[in-house]
Amino acid sequence: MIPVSTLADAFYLLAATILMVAALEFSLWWIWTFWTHRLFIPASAGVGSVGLWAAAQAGFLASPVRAALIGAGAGLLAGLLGRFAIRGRYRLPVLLLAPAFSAVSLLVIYPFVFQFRLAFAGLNMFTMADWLAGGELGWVGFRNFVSVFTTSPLQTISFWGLLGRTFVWTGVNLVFHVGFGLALALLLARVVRGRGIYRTLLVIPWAMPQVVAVLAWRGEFHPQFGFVNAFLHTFGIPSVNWWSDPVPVFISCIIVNIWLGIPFMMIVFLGGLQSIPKSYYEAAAIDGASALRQFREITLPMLRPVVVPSVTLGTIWTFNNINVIYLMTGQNGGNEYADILVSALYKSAFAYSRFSFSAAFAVVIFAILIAITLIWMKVSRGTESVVAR
Amino acid sequence: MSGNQKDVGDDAPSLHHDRPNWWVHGLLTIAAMISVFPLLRILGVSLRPGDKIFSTELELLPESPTIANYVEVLTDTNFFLWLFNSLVITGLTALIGVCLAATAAYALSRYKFPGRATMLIFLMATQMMPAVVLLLPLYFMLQKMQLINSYAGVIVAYCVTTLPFTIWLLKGYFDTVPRSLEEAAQVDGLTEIGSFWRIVLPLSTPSLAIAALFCVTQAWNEYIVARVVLQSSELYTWPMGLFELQGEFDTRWGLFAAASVLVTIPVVAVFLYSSKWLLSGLTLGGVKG
Repeated sequence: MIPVSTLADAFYLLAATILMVAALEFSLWWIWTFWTHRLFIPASAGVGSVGLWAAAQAGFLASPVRAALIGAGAGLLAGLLGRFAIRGRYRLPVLLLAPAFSAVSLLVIYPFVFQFRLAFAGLNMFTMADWLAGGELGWVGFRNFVSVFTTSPLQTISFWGLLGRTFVWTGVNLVFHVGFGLALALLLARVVRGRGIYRTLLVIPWAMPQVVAVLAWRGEFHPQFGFVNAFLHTFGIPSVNWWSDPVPVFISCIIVNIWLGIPFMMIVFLGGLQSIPKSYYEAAAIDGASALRQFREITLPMLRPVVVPSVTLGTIWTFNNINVIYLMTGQNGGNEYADILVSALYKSAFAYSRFSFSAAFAVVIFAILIAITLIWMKVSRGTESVVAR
Repeated sequence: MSGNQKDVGDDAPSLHHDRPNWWVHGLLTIAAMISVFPLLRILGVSLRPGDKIFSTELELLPESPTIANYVEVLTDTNFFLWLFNSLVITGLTALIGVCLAATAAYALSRYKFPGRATMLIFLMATQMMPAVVLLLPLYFMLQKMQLINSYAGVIVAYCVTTLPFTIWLLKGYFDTVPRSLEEAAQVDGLTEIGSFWRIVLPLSTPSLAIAALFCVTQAWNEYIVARVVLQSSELYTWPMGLFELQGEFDTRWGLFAAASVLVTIPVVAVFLYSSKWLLSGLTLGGVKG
């Protein structure tokens, strides 16, 4: 049943990775070993030329002659850099860093630049085949950016509607995550017997694969057969159409995401609570401070170093959460009642195939993310401790 | 780090002297019930006989439990194929990811060179950005490289999304390995790279395991990217398979539940077993830096 070709595919990938890393390391080693040699620069050009020509012969590149010329140019450049800029310094760290760093840059920086190019082109499902066959991308100016703000990224909801919903989503989720997480951590800190069992049961939402958890919840929200409506019936509340009425759809997504996010906050806060020395509470109790006062004056300030980074992470994760919303609303054509910015981006790119439009949309979302990050850094100075080392 | 790598919870004494009241236990019990509820529900649904799949009864265990759904999942669907695909993708992601991350993290931890701080911030910044924002250009790039519809495309995407975090994690750990060990070894004639291989790596096997585990959980549970890159049904990973089963709610709800139970139990077991290391690693590398 398991196709052999897919296995061969995997081995091929592994071999190709090793080969590419080896080629990279060899060229770096060459530069750092022979940079003082008289013939270093011409020899570098020669090595690069032969290397790429061989790659072209092996079928990795299209034209052997062009490959040889590009290789010679790159080798010449590398030689000049090695001789006059690097001069034999930092050899080992660069050799160690090169594979990971070139992989990340190639797959982050190149798509990032290409995103901007795409945002100014007119690529959609009709022009795509032509482009893939070697056609031009073309330029349309800022048209895509204008239509991000004037037309709907999905069917009816506007960009501003999505933006507002994203903030509601992030805010509501975070308040409940932190609130319930802190409450549960405080409760857990009070019990001695059975704490391990409670903790184990309470982290289950985090431990479960998200796909299973969300799809299971989706089933429970089924208007006819789901548990939620059956449960509401026992209190005499009529059925709610959780699958297709706008507001209930959004509420059900929020409930599921709250359920998913509490354990992380709880565990982080529990760790923070347990690092507060007990003697503080004893001293406060001797001085006659009430439990509420102890909580306000000792627990909350002492938790601050834990709260700031976890709330930062929580905000990023919630703002960028696409799993819950897509899995809850993505099937069978789906609906757009719960979509936030990133899930709308995903749908407009891969469900509606509006490629250049989505690229412009992604650039706008990216700008919003940067603005939020900058504001947050100003407010919390949360990155200080991280970068200080 | 090994000194403060204590379990978050078990051995620490309670914060308060007074005996926990019944309401503390009551609230915790209610919370625990809510948190395990979906898992118990799919367990119950998976055991239901075919004619009772849509019953709205609230009992967790059905009247006449049967394993027919499990048998059907294992024989009538591509369950093993999905598992196999997920295994290959997850294994290769962890292998390639940890190798690249370990070397890079060592360089970032041990050497001072221009651009080091910039590099660390750059890695951090890529974590702020959701993968979805770059997914479209990445998709076209993979398409031009003929990597769409192959394991390689997904693995490449997963490695890149996990690398920044694993590099930070491992760098945080390497920072705590005393440098004097390597210096002593180098006096005795070990090369620089040899001291990385023979001294630092063996000393940090726990953190390498955490990094691998992180890659594994990310790749194993991922759906959004896989759905875009893998299009032919013989490359489906298990989340995609489950989504298919659940999409047709009317007919295969019991199958979905059975398949869910089969994939969830091992994942939850591994998570709970490894949670102490995972959590301490999380605070050490991710939050405290």
